[in-house]
Amino acid sequence: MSVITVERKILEKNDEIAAHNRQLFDRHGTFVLNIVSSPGSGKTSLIEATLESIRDRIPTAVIEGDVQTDLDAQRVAKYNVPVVQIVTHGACHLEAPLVRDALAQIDLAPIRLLIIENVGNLVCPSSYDLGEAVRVVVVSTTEGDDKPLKYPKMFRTSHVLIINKIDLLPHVTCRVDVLRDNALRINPNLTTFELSCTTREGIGEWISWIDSKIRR
Amino acid sequence: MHEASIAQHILTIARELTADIRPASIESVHVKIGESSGVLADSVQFCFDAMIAGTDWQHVRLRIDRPPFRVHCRACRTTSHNELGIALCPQCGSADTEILSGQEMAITEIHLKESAT
Repeated sequence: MSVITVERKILEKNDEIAAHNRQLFDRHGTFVLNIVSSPGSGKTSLIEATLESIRDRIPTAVIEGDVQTDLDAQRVAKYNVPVVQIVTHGACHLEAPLVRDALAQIDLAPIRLLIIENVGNLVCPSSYDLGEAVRVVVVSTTEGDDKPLKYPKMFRTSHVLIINKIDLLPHVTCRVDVLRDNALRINPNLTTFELSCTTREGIGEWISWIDSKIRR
Repeated sequence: MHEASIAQHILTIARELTADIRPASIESVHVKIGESSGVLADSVQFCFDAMIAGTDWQHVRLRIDRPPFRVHCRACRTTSHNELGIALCPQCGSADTEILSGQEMAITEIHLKESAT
């Protein structure tokens, strides 16, 4: 028997295209966020609250990923920013080629901030680099404080943790300090924000963070 | 359920690597999928087998190695197996750690039968 020894990353094709996407973003000076979470954590609400604060001073575009429908793109379109909806028809995550294809519909030159909303899923999107600068994982207080321990890879591969729906804390059993600590046990380097997209509490800190990342 | 996508990528790369080898002489494809890679080995196996069924690769076996999630602590200089994928050192609690293994997703070897060459 003979053996061919190789060292090839299984997702090398995806990673190659993600690297191309990243070069394109760098060339245009576009800061890119990849927002991930379970379904219903508030990714789209976070994008709406963010656009409300920044659209007048930071040229922004949005790529929406969903298994079905363009409902999210419709919500975002109300803010008069360029938005492209990717419908994955069953696939549970976005891959770099899908983002590359969506970019063909956006003139990146004036865009300083691109927000990509991934498919709602706390497992699969963690394996796929899209070319983003920062991966933002959103967890809401209604999901419980144990989620980082159950879905470690998503928290390990993210840079920012947003704990959403803090306005509901009086009504749920979630302990924010436990949730935050659990996430930091998986990834001690996470930058964390606690906010409510409904009451806008805590949104200011998040917006200041985005401001600090934008190339003027 | 992204394991079908993972299995497809494995098959594509393995076929590319063996493009000039007769399929009949290919015995097995060996991959490393870390225990904290977020990928279910059984599902990848199932999908791979389904994809090669009825093709000239249907005899090829997929062998999956599951490296454990191991963390080295720079503070107390110990190496531990953290089953839950936690980055903190289980001995001293330090966050100054380095992940040594358990996140792999790579093709490592392709085994050929004696008659391949």
